[in-house]
Amino acid sequence: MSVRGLGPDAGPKAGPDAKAGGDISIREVTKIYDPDGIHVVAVERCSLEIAAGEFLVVVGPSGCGKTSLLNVLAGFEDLTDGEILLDGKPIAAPGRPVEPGSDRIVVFQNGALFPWKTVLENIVYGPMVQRRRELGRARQAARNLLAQVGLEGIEGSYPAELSSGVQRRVEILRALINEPRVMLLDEPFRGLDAVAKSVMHQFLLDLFERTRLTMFFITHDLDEAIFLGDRVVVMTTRPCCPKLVLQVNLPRPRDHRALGDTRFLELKRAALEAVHEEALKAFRAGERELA
Amino acid sequence: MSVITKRIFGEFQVRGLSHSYGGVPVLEDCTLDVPRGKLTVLVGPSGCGKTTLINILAGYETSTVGQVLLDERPVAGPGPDRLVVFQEMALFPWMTVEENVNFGCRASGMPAGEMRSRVASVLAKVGLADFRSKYPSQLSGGMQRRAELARAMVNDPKVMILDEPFRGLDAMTRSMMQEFYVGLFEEVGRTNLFVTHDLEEAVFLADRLLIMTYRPGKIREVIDVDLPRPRTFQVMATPRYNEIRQHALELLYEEASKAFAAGSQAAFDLVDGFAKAAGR
Repeated sequence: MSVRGLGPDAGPKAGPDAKAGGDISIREVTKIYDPDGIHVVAVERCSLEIAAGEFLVVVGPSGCGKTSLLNVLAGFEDLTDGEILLDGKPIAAPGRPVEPGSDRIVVFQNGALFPWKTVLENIVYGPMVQRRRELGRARQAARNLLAQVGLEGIEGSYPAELSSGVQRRVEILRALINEPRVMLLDEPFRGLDAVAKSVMHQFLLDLFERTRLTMFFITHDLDEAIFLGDRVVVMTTRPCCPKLVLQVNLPRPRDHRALGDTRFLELKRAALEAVHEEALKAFRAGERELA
Repeated sequence: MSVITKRIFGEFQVRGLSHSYGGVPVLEDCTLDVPRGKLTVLVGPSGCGKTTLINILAGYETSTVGQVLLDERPVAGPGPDRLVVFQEMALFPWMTVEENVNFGCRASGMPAGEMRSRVASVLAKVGLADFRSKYPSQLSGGMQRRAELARAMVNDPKVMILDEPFRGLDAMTRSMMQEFYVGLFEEVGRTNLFVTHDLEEAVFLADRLLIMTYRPGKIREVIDVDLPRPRTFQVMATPRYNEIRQHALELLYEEASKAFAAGSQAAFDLVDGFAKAAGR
């Protein structure tokens, strides 16, 4: 399958040369929460360039502000200072109204499928509420997507009837049907056991090979980060800004053999040191606050 | 805690243990050792009978087939010599940290003075000396788990049994707790049996890794985790760690395949995905 922009309408325009965009430029972004005058600096002067079709993975201690950054990128929250451009156009700036768009779609860490809707109804929900596509075509598109990832036959099932691994794949398809330029994933495989996780990794890597969407992926799992990413950015504890950027020079397509590569271990060592240092800071600060 | 010597630590021997619920076999011919002074970690697919096995070792359930020996004596009912730290928070919310830890001690009929100094030293050990007058709800998740460890340690059990004790913690606190726990273990060298479904955690902690089969559960393989101690987080970036983890993952994958044969949708999904990934 040589489909770029894997999806229903991926027709002749799809091909290795097709440019669907997806360049992200995060410039000096600061995000301050100020509930009742408690000044919390979640993100401070964070700058990051993400190329179209890059798989960027962000790691950092809990509560470091990674998710705040993702929320600003998604358009769920405004920012306090700085700006973010998507393909040269601002999508976030201070004072600019927040506007989420189907060009950048979020896949959440757990169960955001509607339990009372079937798989097919869940997948077509986005295009339907946005009236971007008529029902028949949306359904056909959803069926195509399911078939392309080997999940035909579950269209009529309800989420509760599916294993958690399949549910997560459906969530990813539900995001994909909107033909986004960017996928924002916030710990999407959290809570899965080791075997299920490795299946999901392979699924996502396949999808990435085929679509080459820009990926912004948050995780705590360093193996996952290096295995999936083109670059891994280790964030500082609050306020969040890049502490260490690792270029993952492992060839693609990747499979489990990459995990035994000496370069993999070198990268992991560097990431472990950096994350651990920040985690320790965050942990100690947390304990001081409670004392 | 200076009274502790290796002598008082216990060891389990489980021989040919079988157990079933309503005719459905959960454990079958399960044989394993939990050797003295070692950290034994049990991993296996969901529903493989890990918790049943623990309940039998703790004496909460009894089995008719097979033998469970603690220091060569059959286990009959629960006892303070085996303490279980559960995945759910089991601290009493209306008691302070100190009272919670005291509570475990009080049941043992220890003199008040000795009890007080012992509680103080255990709380210091888990880094909660300054938090002894707080209630569980005033603590962070990591502190709550440390308070539970303290409550289990204060009685000097012969064996500490931990059933997914760090489940539900966020990833960062979890890794901090793993390091903390492994440090505690290395300092005293108590007999520990630790159950988890997190493979990274399992390899990081273990002296011996027991991989269980899918239901009915028994021990599929014992992996000797020969990583050096004291362990620090850096060990997770070594080739040996990687090798052991990869080997264990393959075994777990095979067990997941068997679960598929038994009709589990979850396992079907896993095997299907794995086969596709591997181009089989």
